[in-house]
Amino acid sequence: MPEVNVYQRMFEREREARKQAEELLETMSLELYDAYSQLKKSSDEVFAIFRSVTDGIVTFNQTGTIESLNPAIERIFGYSENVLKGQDIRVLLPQNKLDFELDDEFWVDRCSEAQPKFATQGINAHGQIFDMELSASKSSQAGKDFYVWVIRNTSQIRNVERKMAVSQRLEAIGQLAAGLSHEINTPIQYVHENVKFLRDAFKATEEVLVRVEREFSSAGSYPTPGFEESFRQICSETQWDFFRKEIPIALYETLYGSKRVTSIVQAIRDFAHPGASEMSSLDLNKAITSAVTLAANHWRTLGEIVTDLDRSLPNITCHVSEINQVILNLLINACDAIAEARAANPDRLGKIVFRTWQEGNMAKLSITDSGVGIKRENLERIFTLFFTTKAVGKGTGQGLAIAHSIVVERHNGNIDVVSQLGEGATFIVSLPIQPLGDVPPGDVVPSGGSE
Amino acid sequence: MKGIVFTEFVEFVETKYGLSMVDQIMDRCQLKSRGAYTSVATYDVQELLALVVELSRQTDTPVSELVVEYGRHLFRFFARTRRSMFEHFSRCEQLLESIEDQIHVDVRKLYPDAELPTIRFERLSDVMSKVHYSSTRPLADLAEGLILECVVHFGEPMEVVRTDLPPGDGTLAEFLLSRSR
Repeated sequence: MPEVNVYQRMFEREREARKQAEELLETMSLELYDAYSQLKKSSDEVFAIFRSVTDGIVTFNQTGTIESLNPAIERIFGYSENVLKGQDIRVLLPQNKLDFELDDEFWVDRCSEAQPKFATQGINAHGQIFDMELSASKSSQAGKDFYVWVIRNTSQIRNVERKMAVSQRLEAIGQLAAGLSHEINTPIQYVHENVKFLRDAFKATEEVLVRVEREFSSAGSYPTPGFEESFRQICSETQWDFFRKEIPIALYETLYGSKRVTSIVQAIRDFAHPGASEMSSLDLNKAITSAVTLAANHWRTLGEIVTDLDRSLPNITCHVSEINQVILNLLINACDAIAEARAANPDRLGKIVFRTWQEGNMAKLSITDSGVGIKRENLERIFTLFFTTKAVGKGTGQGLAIAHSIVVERHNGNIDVVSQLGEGATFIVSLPIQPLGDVPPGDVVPSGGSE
Repeated sequence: MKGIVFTEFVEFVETKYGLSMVDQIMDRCQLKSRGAYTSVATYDVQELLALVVELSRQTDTPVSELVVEYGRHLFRFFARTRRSMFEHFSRCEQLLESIEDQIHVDVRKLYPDAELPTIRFERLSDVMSKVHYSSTRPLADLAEGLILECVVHFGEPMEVVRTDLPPGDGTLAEFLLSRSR
């Protein structure tokens, strides 16, 4: 049995330990309070950001049940928070976008670094389908997985992009305006001159006819024996032989001139047309010919255009006015490159070569110019919006960027460039003959052509 | 070192040798803390070493033997008081494997200033594994006691062979665990 003083000392130690524990408890309580205050402040800040961002943020669990959302989701989809909470996440997607299960495979693809966001469609409370950009991520809290979607309504952005593309198309036409007026003015002038000539010719013809009629009326029903001599004299006096030779030529030229004006006006209409939202059939070779017509005054003084077009190339299904715009942009770009080269060396011959051919299920178009070429360090940037190496006032840096956007994003095609500085450049455009998803099984020929 | 190691050591000595022994070793060690330990505070590890050496002297038992024994006691204490944590493990290796990446992580959440040893677990085969102990403190004996009691806790026959690594002062050691086939 321990002595009393052993218990006494133990009691003292225990009392001392209790004091220590109490002091420690107080210190830790204060630290905890400070930490809580900091956490609350951070949490309030994060919550305020969550509430105020313009992108919609929605979280849901492994069964797809919506757990939280911010006001932007309410604005984008037109549902109130109370209605959406507890609903299946797929209520935000249209019927044709529901071809996935909220299983691992989907999320491995969608949440990977390589594909941090993707374009898809959403459906709002009124049943309206709209374009949106979706960033998906998977997180874990307290051992439970949950998913976060960050959604941006891209309908308005797409509208702005479309308007921008249209305005650039009009700008391209504007660039050609001076040349176009000349192109139209020249045939109009000779049509005008020819019509004046034909008016005079008609007067001469009329005089011949009147005098021949007079001869007939004075001589009765039959020409007099001296009629032939008299007719020759009439023809000579009215220069009938000249008119007889020149009238068909004048008519031919007039028809040619008016046809030329018609084709230029048609080309302008093709290019300036805002374009239908639906895809339709386009003869790529004809589109090249139209662009060459439209830009004739632009390139004629710079050199020649050679076309090496595959006549067996099938029509492609595309947004017609947009592809027309791509071709015109590339042609204007080629002309500008040649003009720059000729400014440094006026004796240098300008040449632009258009080629078309088919490779598998892709229609290919190339345009090669003998211009200044592109510096190696600029090759990667030429399709960047507002990047330009042209002089101030000469280019806005939109042409190639819009061409790239139209080919790659709107048509799932491709646009490449190869260039030798000082030698020129070749742009190669690849476009699916049928839009992706429309190709019947078995129709796809491996890229690389046939042997 | 966390106070819980001290309070449990006092408990260990009192259970095994009686309250008088606790009083005696504390009196002789002239501790800065005067032996007033609370589990949530932090104390100098030298106090624990002084207490063990004094206990060894008083009981005429080798220090290493005492520390191993205390390690076993400490494991039983954890198993008794941290039941929910132990429920996650059904095998000895599972627990040992989780020390560095799970248990120590949780300890640091509660005590950011905790100075913990590094426990590296390596599975050599279906029946053999290795635990590498590394610490700034010479407490390989304590680790041995904890591992031995861990084997007992899961009730699986297993042989534990300890190898002290240079500098041989108990700061570095390897434990080879062999499961009986």
